[in-house]
Amino acid sequence: MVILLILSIVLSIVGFTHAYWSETLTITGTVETGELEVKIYTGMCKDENGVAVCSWTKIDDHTIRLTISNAYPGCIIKTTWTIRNKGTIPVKLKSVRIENVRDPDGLYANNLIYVERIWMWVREHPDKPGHGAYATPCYLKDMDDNIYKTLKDYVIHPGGYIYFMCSDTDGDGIPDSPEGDSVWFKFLDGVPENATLSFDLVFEWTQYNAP
Amino acid sequence: MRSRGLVGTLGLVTVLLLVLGITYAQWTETLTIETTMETGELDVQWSVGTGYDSESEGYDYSSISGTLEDTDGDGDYDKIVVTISNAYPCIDYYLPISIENIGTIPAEVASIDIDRGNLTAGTTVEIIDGNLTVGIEFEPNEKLVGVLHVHLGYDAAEKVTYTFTITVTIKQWNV
Repeated sequence: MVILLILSIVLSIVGFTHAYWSETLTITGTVETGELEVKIYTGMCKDENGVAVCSWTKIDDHTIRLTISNAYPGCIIKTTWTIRNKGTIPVKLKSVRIENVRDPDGLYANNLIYVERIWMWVREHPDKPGHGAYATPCYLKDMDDNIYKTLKDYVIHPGGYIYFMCSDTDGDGIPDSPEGDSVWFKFLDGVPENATLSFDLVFEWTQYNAP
Repeated sequence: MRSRGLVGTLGLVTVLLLVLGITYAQWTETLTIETTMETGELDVQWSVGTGYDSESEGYDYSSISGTLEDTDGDGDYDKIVVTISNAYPCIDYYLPISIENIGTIPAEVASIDIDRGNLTAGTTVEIIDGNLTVGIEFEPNEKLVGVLHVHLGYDAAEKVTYTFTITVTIKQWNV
């Protein structure tokens, strides 16, 4: 009987304690993240004399493969390609790499290919005019480093792009002549007959504000 | 002789009763206190400012905003719906917020609970830069201010929706 009485008193006290006034306010947050998406597109690849055979193959959104055969000393193969920011946030270049080199005739290993022009057209923002960018000519082995050094400080906004050609014949700020200044591979003396070469060119991108 | 004594006794009793009757018939008055107790009200509500972030000029690609809701239909804003759009790592998002005491008694912040939901470990959610803290009392018509700060970590994924909830409990000041 005494225990029941004490219990009743305790419950009454507890009940009273919980009966104070209170209000609850809430914040619900939704964070929708953006998308980093940069795509590479193959372009022209040709020997103006129509002797050497070459082609671009798109491997994935960051990688294109150049395959060349039947080149000859003095041959110049002109190529173009394009990179576009298709995402929702600005990007910058993280690395450029030449990978998967298939070089049975030693064209790459023996520096028998000189990249005579590496001319680009950079349009960082779709609402602003583009401008030319020029990497230092070099042997093929060094082309990836030179492209990276030239482009590493650019920020490509959504809608922005890089054309790997630079001939704006009508002056409207957009390159329009794939036959003109672009990326030229010159085959040097010493190139053996029936030589072939292929390699992958990989562009890796990251968000513009990455450390 | 005996009958005279009886009459005398009865007369005395009658006189006494008359005296008593006069006593009971005295005038009376009744006084009352009528009491009306009108209780006060503990009532608070959110208000929200314009969000901003740490994106540089020319890099305005993401944003934070907050809208007020009255979920229980009592005319007060008890919820802020915060939306961060096109978010990406390493940007700080800020949203000024405040709680106003619109009741009639002092209030106190009893607790602030942050449920991080599915946010990644590297992401920060906090209330900074103000007096909106646990234990603080505020008077009627007084505001507590703070800034909701969200910083997305590098472990956040692309094209994902993360959610979080903050619950603020307000109690009467004296308990």
